Amino acid sequence: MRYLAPHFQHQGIALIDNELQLKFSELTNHFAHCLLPLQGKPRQLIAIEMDNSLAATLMYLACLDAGHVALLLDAKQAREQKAATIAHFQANYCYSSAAGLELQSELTHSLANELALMLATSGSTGTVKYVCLSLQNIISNAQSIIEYLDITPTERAITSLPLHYSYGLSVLHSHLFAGAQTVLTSESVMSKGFWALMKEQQISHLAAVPAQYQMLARLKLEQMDLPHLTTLTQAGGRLSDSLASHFATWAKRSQRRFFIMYGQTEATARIAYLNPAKAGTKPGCIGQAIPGGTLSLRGDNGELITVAKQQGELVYQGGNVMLGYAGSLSDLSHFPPLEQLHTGDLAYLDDDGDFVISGRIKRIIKLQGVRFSLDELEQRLQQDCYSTLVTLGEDENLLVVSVGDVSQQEIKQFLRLTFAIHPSLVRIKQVSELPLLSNGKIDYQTLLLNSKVDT
Amino acid sequence: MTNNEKLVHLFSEALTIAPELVVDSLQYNTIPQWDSTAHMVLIAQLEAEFEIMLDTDDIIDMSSVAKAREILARYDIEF
Repeated sequence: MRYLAPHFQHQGIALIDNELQLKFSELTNHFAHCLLPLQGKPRQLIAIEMDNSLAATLMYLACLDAGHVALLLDAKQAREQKAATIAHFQANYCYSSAAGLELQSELTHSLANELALMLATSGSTGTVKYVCLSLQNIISNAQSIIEYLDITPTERAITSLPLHYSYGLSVLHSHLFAGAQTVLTSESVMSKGFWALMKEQQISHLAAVPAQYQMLARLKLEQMDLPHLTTLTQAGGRLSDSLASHFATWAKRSQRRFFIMYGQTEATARIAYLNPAKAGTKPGCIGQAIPGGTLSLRGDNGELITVAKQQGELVYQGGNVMLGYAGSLSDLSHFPPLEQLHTGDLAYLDDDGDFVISGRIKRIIKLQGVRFSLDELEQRLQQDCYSTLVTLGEDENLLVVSVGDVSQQEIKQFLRLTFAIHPSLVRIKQVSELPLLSNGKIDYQTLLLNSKVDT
Repeated sequence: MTNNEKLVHLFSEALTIAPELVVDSLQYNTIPQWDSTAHMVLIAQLEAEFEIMLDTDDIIDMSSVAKAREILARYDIEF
């Protein structure tokens, strides 16, 4: 049974890696070659060190095509961390572009029929929690994206984001299913090589997270000569109002399309997008659900909110909602149906009926597009630095509050080395005592407000 | 502080590495600390400290400490 091949009956080129151009018609041969060592084996759980290389990309697609389960690892993670995940889920094989396929375990797993892909939920270490997706999830989300971005076979995208990350992967998926082309690179937008590719390969579609838009602004994207670039997308956390307005204005003036989008790995990638005509004019606005999906707001007691300006939890329904989470191997055998995705984000409807994000229920922040649990960060800081530290903050701005004297240097170094959080994203503040709620818990909201007044 | 001392200090701050490690041969993307985020922070700090606006080409060309010095010299920063 081939699962992907029927969807890849396109003409022309699919993947480009330096000088190498692979046609859609050549992909299946490559898939077969990738999986030679697995011949005759039942469905396997395969951990792939995803590094934006052609080899890793082909291995990943080959796994989907043959019905194996692919667990994607961040290739840049520390070796011990990758090994811990592989051991935790007892992956049968591990693939890296350097070492190829390596046998890890001959265990026969009980894997749910629909399970195809496992993606990490966050950038923090502590717990191992993976989002489990089906091929149907991937196809459904890709089709929605193709429709609202209007991706035609003449489009050409570039892997500006890592492919182990749901947003980065969604760019690859949507272009493959559309019969369009994807240029593979691991160069960052701050490197010369990336911009050489943008020009030489005549890239038409650029995807970036807020931290990268900050870089694009500093690089003065608006002054670059990129006549083929027609579509820019943004996801991975809220873009600052000034950057949203900057890029929206430039896009309009230069007749480009700038899509502000919203999503979660739990929904394969995309959930909502804002019509480019409205970009830059409505801060925090995520527009409407993607084609095929439905967004709604729920109040504290689960009641549906339909009036404007009333806040509730954003709830999503659609064919791209994940199968479920997996914290351990036993979770992979069966997934109880999950009809709705409670996003954990708070939102309201504006007067046009567009959704506007207004906060988060869970203590989660995004730094450089990577999701961190504040509770986990707090726990690790208390354990490894000072027991008096608490963490809070907003996207791109982690605040560490301490009661009593601490070494700022030590805390910043720890966050840098353990979680790859750059010190410029961290503020450390000292207080005499922590504000408490009536139930004795820390009043993070007051603490955050106080810290804003101070600075 | 001399311009050279300033440069070493800015690299050391942005890359979060010891000043002794800021040597001419140090290159972008060869150590985990000099990633794209650190590079952006570095550019912002160089522009603020030396009161200059770097061109796009210079930002993406600044691939080593030696190269940084060479590029800054073109903005009349003397070393």
